[in-house]
Amino acid sequence: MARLGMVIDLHKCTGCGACGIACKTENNTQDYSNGRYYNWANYYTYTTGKFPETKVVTIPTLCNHCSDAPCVANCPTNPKAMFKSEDGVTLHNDERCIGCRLCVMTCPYSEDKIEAAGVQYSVISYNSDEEYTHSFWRNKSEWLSGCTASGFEVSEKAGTLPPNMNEYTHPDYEKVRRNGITEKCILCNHRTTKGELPHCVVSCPSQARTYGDFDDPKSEVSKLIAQYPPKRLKNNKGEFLANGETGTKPNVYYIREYNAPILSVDEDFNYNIQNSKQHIKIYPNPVEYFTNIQCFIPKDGNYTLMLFNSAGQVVQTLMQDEYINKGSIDFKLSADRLPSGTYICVLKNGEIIESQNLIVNH
Amino acid sequence: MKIQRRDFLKTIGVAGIGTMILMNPVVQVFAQNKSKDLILQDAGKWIPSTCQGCTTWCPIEVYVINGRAVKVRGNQKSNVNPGYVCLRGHFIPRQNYDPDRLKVPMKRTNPEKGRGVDPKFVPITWDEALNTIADKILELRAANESHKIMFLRGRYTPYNNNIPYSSMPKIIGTPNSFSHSSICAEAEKSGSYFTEGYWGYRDYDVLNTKYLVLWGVDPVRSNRIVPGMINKWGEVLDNAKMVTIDPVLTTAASKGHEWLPIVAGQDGALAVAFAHIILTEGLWNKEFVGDFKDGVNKFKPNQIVAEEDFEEKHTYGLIKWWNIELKDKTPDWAEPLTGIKKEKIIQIAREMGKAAPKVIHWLGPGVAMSPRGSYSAMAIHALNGLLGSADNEGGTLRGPSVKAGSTPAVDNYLDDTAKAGNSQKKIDGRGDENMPSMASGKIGSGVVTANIANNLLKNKPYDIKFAMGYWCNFNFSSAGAQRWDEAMKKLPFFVHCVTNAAEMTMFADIVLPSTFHATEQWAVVNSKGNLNSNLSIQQPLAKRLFDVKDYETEVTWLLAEKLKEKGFSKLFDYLQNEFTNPETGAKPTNAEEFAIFATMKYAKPAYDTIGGWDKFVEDGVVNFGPYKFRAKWDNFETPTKKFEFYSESMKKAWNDHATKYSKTVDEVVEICNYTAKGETVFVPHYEPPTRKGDEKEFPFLFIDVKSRLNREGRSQNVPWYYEFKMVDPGDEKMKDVTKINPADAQKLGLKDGDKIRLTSVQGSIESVVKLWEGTRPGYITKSFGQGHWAYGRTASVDYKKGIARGGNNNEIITDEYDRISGSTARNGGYVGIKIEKI
Repeated sequence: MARLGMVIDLHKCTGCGACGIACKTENNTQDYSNGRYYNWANYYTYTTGKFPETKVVTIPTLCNHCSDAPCVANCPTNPKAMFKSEDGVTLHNDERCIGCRLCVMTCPYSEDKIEAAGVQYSVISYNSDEEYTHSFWRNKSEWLSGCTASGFEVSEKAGTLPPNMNEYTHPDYEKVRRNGITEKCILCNHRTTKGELPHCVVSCPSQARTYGDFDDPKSEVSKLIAQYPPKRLKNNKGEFLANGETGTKPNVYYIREYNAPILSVDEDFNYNIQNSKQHIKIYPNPVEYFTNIQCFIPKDGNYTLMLFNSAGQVVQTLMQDEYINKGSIDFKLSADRLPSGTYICVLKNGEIIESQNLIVNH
Repeated sequence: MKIQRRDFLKTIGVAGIGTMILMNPVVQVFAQNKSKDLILQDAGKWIPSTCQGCTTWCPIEVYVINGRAVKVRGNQKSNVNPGYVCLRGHFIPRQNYDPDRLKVPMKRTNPEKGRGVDPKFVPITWDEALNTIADKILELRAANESHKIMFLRGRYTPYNNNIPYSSMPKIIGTPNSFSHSSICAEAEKSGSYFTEGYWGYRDYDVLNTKYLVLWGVDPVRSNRIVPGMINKWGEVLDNAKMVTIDPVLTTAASKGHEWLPIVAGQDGALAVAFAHIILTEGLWNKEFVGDFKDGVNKFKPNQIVAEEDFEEKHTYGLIKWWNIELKDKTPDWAEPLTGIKKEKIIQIAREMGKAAPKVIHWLGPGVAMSPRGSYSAMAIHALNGLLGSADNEGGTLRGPSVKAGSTPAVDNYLDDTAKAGNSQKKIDGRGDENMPSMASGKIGSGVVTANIANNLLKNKPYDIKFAMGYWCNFNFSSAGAQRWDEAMKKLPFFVHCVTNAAEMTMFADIVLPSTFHATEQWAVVNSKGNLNSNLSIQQPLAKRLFDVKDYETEVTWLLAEKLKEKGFSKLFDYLQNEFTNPETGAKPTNAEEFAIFATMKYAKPAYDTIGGWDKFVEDGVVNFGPYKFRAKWDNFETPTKKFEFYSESMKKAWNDHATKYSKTVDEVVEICNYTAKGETVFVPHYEPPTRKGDEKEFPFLFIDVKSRLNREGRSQNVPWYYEFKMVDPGDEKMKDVTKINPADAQKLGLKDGDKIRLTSVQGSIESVVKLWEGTRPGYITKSFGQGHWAYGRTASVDYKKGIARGGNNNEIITDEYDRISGSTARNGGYVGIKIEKI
């Protein structure tokens, strides 16, 4: 006996979507059709906070392989189409399924048509009995008549339907499920039985997913939920089970947070800068021959006005610690002997220091 | 089974199901169980190839069953990705089997061209197609108008492309072969080129860094090294502080420690303010930059520093940079421009100073691909110099070089017609007075892709009579997309080589069906990341379902054969003589052999290091690295060999440009739409953002973001794209939403799901409102990717009427440039938008 499941480390997850798409390639799930999605690995996403304290959050989702699985309890067939394997995986037998959808209705994580129900995802999907699965690949229409293929032609030429069909065998489920039945994540039982990991686990670029047996205290998953306080989803509305709540005893655990913690800031921000830009006016600028430098003196006092080149050498001293009365003072500057380049005009006294660039362009 | 499912449902009905739960009846089923033993057959095999769904170019492996591509993983032997792909890689099988791929060559029968005009394509043979193409080429050569032939390149493989993109045009005799590069991310390269002499994309030592600053980039979504960054994210987060500077909320911003939602286009202001604080507080890296001779920090706001007081070590021009630009770029100055509180600016600057040199300033297209973006890129990359992280552990790097073969010279295969044609001016306007496009500091050396449309319309400097493009779709992918509709309508003859008929194809006269690079053709591709570089293979691992051909090798060969048949053998001779089998010396005798020999030729220097071609085909990848740090210190490819804060290479480039047009540097700089004067032009500095569209009429500013589902513009015909659209922050499945801050939406009376029209001076698109707190008030943001009006049944609504699914951002982004790099400006929030409810 075992209790197989998964731990998803939200700290590592970047919500990239790889598991969702990879699952489709492994399990040959069909495209969206008539209000139904067939994405066994999926996402609950939301945005939280007000600008600029905003974050987006992604929670990757899949069948929770619950220990108290209502989909199994309510499956009306005998033997049950939806059943628990010896090691705790919620498996589904295609042959026995009668497509009644009691599993969908009773699973807290599922809805038949998610948009109509106002939720983002469903872990169990129903293959409508009104059309064959993978209708996309049965369509014979050509987009550019005679020049492009059709879904059907591509499938026919490739030899499988869908043409990218992954091939595997399993005693309970088909690699491509027929219409009129439900289907869901089977934790890649066809892979794990062969000693491989579920495809979403090996395809996760952030290595956020760990598969294993929660009944084995030495397993990686057991260690992870011992190391980090785990949480489990309560429903498909993004809510987690509260402390003490067990719900349907889901076996997909989430650890750590999707968003990084806010780091505390312990800084002194005294940064006193006199930066009023009103004391120097240079015109024209750029200058070819002559320019005017006008200084607005805010109050009586000693002032220095110097011209530097970009290397920081003094080119000209226009005032050196001179006592100036409040008002304005004008200088005429000849740029004749200054090479082309950027010069910096600096006005200062004990309280203010201001600089302005002067461009000489011959 | 006794009870038919349909009958069962009919019997119980909907009301019956509720009752059934209470009653819990048991339905006996007698399904026969299959054997309990799993059949452990291994039907398939992992075969290596390379994904080119984005610019990371990940080495991959494709699981192949009986010649069918089934699923994808990262190449397990690659040190770059390392062994993973992002979601884009998993699209490969579906893209390969896209039912709307072209299966035959075709020609148009409706001479009228335009959006919404059915070209009425009919199938033709490869022979007819190639005959027509060869005739057109020879006709123009005979009239001494070979330069009026134009070749266009979109997605390409980085080695084999040289054959049709570089050699073939030269041998035929045209200077007009143009790449898509400058609508991608070219302006980024200005940052590292004009400071450290490196015109290329960087890699980053993220595992050893202590501080990661992401400027206008979301590396778990796009802009290079994506699976590698996803792979390391958790670990980086544990070891370093992560800060995102972006006007809209990204995944990186959500998963990082700080998000600075900067006013768009003001990144340069924030960068120089950071530099100002780092200097005034003495936080620069002394080992790399040096120090004041007396050890006393003289960097004080507005105070001029004398060069002789400071001794620089591995850098050049720090004091000039300070005196010219930084002295007054205080946090008080930056706060109103950037919208970031000065206390926050100071805090972040201090933190990065403390973490130096293990600080990464990672800049992406968000800051660079904007009007005047080269200077923002320079200012940001200069911080890597100031903090000593350039070419250092925990900092920025370039990637180990990849060993690969070179393209044989064409000199012996040029006739007089070709020589005359090649000497003509290129038509993309590079090097024009207002478009220096100084890639690698050389005036007129970078392509100006988006400008081709303008010059086609103006016949500037002459008219183009025949064009051939592959894997390009500028009518969709280039800003001001409508310009291309007009330009392509005017072009007399266009041949398009693509997997799917796209918007640009609708203007084609002949269309050639292409192989899909990841699954159906031979090529080698280079990539880098994770301190390593790769050369990886692409090979025809999936059976071609239709008569498609690889443009770079097979089509070029077949065209060369046709040209030879018609009396012009130079191209054929070049291909046959120069692309011999590097192992046997055998000359290629057909297109398939040529494809293999050419690929081998480029791969040989790499595969020789691992034991030969067969091993390379099996492994799919050759690793190079890891990177050796600090080898570039005092050996940077700058005129001074130092990391330049006062860019001598920028100075030379602008002086060359000014001299060419007998103007002053200030004059040409102004013509090129930059505001700096004097020596400020030569230092990393702040350039104010621009705006297109009057503020009253177009009150919102537009932020274009890249969808992580984009395999360039090519994944939109796969239904999965829409089913998983919610993996883009703020986006919703099945929709193409415009995200508006709720406060703005309230003012406009808009609610979720409202249909709206977005209008700029460029044009209009329709969209759907999504209220989102991740958008800065005053802005709207929308993912790029949807809005195809011709790409297949899923991506577009009706090509015959030109009706798109969703809206193409490039129809509202205007034709604007960063003129130093010739790049298209699509970022920087410079496009004004009017929102109308419809």
